[in-house]
Amino acid sequence: MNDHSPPEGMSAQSPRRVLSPHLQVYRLPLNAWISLLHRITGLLWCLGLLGATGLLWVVAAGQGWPAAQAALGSPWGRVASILAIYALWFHWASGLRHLLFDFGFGFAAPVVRVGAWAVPWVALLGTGLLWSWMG
Amino acid sequence: MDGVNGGEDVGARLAPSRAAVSHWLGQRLSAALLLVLVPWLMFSLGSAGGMELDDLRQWIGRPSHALGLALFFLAAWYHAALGLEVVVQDYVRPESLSAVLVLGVRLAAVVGAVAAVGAVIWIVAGMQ
Amino acid sequence: MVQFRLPREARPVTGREHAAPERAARPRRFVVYRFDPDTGGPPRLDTFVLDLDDCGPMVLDALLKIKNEMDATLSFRRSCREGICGSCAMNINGRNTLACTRRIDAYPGEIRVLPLPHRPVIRDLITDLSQFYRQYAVVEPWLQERTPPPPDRERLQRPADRARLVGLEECILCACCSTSCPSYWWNEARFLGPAALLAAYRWIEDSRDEATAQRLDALDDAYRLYRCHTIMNCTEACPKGLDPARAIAGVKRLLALRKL
Ligand code: SF4
Ligand code: SF4
Ligand code: FES
Repeated sequence: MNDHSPPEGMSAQSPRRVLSPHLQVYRLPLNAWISLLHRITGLLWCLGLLGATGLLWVVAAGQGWPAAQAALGSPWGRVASILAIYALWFHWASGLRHLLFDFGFGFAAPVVRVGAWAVPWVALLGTGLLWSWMG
Repeated sequence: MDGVNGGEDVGARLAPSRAAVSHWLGQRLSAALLLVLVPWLMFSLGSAGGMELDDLRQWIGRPSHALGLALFFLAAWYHAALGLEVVVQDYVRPESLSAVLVLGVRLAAVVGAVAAVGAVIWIVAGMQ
Repeated sequence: MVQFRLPREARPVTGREHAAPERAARPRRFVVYRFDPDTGGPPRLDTFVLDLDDCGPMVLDALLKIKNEMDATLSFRRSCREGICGSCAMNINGRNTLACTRRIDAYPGEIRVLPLPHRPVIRDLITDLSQFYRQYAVVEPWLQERTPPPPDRERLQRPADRARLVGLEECILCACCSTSCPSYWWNEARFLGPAALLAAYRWIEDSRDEATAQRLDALDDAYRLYRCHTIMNCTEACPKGLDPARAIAGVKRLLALRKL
């Protein structure tokens, strides 16, 4: 934090300061929400990656696959899978947008807004596509 | 009174670390790889839950598939470690704790990547 | 851990209500953040009801009217009242902007006026920006040259080179951008923030400057530059229509290209 001591020559008592409101009052633009969700979906997939590595071990070891299958096929397993797939597509689409920014594309204000709107819908599209692909 | 440059330091005037571009570049390069590998995997293995164990191993055992899968796990663990590192540095204080956590994250990612690639090799070896 | 919540003593409480004048034709509520360092209490949110028929068009006009006619203790910075000094930056209805260039009728209802976010408050709407200025100083925002200047004239610049500075050199250092940036909130001690980074890029892009390599070296740091995650609150906030997010992406790109 800052040095709040008063300049020399002023009273030795340092004035009382408080922190101004921030997250509590800021009206975050859509882009900031997408950015936050990019982070959350990324964190979720750190867990997902752990799970995927575990499943790969189950397949390699040849033991416990029926149990894993049962867990994935249970109602909760299905819900979790669909959410995970949606989160992955979300992170994918938002990440693609970030890559474009890094190359210097898409900084014009309308493009930023349309792009931010597109991310959740692209993720939905990807999830639906995968769904129909799997039949 | 202190001039603009004087007074208590802003940490911003610590010497720059000079390793930060590599981190950023690594994040983007692994992202570019995953951009392709993730949809491929989702469409190939999305229905793995319903597959028989032998069919699944058959699929993974194909050289091109095994290579793609290993590449995916390497890139993904690397990407995850870099991303977690950023989150840790953003939110965890004091910095000494955040440095320890960053080391832990890297270690965990190496373990994860080795485990995943090891499993792929195991499956391929088991096919022979 | 980073503190996401406000410390208890910093949480504002509901303050006084100053009613509208008799027979106000167009009453409008202004909720204004108040903090007095000399009394022990927490910050307050005071309400002032103004008659817009008897008030200038900008939010700053309303603040001046409150100060002149309702509560002379209200403190805020202002100077030019035309968007060029950067003094009157504050948070209006949840977004950082300049009070002097914001029309009151651009907002539908109640107008909430708070100080710039996540800064130490000195009094009311006045925050301590000394850290912000020190960060500006870190990027050494002046022309640096190695070769001696020509003896008979200034250092000239081709029009095309000058054009590269458009959108970079108009910054008025109002701090709307930096104090809108969540990364800056959590890492203000080491992240330079969008305003300082925009200034850094302005000198990196200057064809006459000969310290480009050193400037890039100084920014190759996990905290100074790379705390920016392209959230783009900064660009949304800039009252001069500048794009710090794009400038920061430019710095990152130059660093990456140099590395490859
Ligand atoms: S683009 Fe970077 S500097 Fe601007 S608000 Fe986002 S994180 Fe902050
Ligand atoms: S870039 Fe814009 S918002 Fe930031 S300090 Fe400069 S004028 Fe203000
Ligand atoms: S008073 Fe100068 S910018 Fe508003």
